[in-house]
Amino acid sequence: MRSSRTTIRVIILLILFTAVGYTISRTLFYNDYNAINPGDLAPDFTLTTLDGLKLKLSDTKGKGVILNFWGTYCPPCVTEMPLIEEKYQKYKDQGLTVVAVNIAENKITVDRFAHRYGLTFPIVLDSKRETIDPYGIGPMPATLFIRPDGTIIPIEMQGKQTDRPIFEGQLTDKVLEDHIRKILP
Amino acid sequence: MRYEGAVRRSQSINKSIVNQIWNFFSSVRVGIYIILIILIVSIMGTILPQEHFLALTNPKAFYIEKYGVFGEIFYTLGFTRMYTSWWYKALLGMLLISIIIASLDRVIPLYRALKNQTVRKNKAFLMQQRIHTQWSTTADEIPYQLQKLQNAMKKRGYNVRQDAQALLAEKARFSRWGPYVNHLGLIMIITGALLMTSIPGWYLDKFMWVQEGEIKHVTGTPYYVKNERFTIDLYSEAELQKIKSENQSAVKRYQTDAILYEKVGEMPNGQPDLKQVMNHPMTVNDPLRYKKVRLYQADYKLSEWKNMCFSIINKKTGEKHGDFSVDLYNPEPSYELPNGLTVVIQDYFPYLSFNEDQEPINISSKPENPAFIFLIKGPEAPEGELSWAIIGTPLDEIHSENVYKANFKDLETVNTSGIKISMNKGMSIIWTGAAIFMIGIAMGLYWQHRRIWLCYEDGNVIMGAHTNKGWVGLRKEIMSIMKESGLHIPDDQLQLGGK
Repeated sequence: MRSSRTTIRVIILLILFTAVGYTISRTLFYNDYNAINPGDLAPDFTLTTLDGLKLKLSDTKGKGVILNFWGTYCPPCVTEMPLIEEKYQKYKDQGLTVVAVNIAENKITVDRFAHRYGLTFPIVLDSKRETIDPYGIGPMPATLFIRPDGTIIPIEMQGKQTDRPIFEGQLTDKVLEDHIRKILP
Repeated sequence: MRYEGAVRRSQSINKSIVNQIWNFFSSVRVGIYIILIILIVSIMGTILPQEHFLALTNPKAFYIEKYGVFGEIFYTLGFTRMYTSWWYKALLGMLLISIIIASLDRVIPLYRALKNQTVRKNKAFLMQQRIHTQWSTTADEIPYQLQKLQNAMKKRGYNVRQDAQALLAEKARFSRWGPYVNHLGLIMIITGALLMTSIPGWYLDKFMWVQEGEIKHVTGTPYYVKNERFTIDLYSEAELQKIKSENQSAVKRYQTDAILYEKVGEMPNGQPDLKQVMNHPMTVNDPLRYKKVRLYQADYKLSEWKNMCFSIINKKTGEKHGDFSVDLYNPEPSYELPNGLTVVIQDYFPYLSFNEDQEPINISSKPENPAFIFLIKGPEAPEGELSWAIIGTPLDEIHSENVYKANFKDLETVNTSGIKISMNKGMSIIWTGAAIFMIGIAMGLYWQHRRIWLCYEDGNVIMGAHTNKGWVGLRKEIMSIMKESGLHIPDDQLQLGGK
């Protein structure tokens, strides 16, 4: 009688602790502010490039991808563009590509901007802000680094790996070099 | 503490680790401490605004700058994102476990004890009851008396059991379950709150702007919303007089005629395939409700620039060459006009500004200060001439060589609705829990579990009665039962004992 009572107690306690523990672990390991986490597959999207072609993110598999969210109206985005172009030129033969997602601007403004700055990497237009949600994009510029297998790498800050998938703020030469090294095929 | 004579389980079993954990959570004292801790930290969390209400890029800097050292401590301790933090949920989880175990530990013995009640109790037990009495009668009389008493008791809603010459009358036993029903309600409320903040897609509180004619994705849902029209109705002259308002432009209604679409798939070109699921004129307290999602009319912007209309004029002859209208959100690359004229948009700045080097730059995605560089080609300028068009800026000097000129003619505007999106899938659980909680309170407080025992022994009938509260009422009820059964007990023999 007593041992069966203890068994029942063990079962009840196990159920309760598992349920509560699971709920808490969701909070611990999944940051509320991140829609995605390092190691996740980059959410796929299909958007139109400035050349009028469809670009599907998952079609870039096999290449390391710098996924950048930007707008011409955002000064740090504008400042970092020549740097991204430089790295694109330097590493594109080693299997690096760039997908620059412009958020909610008209084609002419973006096209002329790209022309003025001599940008050659693919720029896609997200006129409906569809990518904001799945990627949890907050302030711009926001940059993700994607491995050839399509997974997102964790951002490194001051030599230390963080649990964040998105680099927020203006890219520097060091940040780009550090992360590009990890995503080249 | 004893429940109906049964020792509470947690106190009767030796202490293994499992039982120690069990006893910890079963303790009311522990439960009260957990509640107090939750109470105190919940109050703490309200001292400074929570992070997610502020939409900050650098929350730490914000709290330090605005609130100084206290802000820094507050932020570092995690109070700025407290209600979704792991430790706050852990506290709620502990309270949940405490309520469940403490209830189980008490409700099961109570249920057993009440289910297995014996009708016949010994004399000493009856005489110990706070309300008790006895009277003498004969063996011939007793069946008759018991029958009369039983009838009177049944009339008053008692459930009567007889065992030989003993009676047990019981009423409203269910009120004993009140506290546990109450706990069940609390369990549901806490569970709802935990699930709501933990499961992605259960809770949503966002805001978005939707321009008239625009279809926008409702963040965090499979839905898209279209703003058909936004209107503001004012009170009419007559209505204003009726309500004696001084305000001549009192608003009667803010309304967005909205259509809700659901994404049912993807079209070959990658665009979402939308199916209309609902349309509803949203007004302030009448949101569009679809499944668990609510869209509220929350804000508006009137007359935002949408289309800009230009006419091309030959500066020499003053001749008009026709008009064209440019969608400021999505301009065409070029516009064909009569008389062989073509206007190509060479560049477009939705919000023109200049950087340190005096180069034109764009500083917003909203066309609030639009500027165009047109390339106008015509019979008199086959190569085309560049022409700036900036609102409110005469540019005739820089284009003095030009034949053609793009004159600003007209502006078409649209209204924009601010829509609040809210979804809380935990809410139905929480409300059900709250309702059950109230039922539990009513059960426990409004009804009383009354019991009357009677037994015949050696020419005497002994009666004892017990209730969990409302002794005066029980005494009155017994008096009236006696009276109806033809038994006259002097008042002083049915006193409320001083126990």
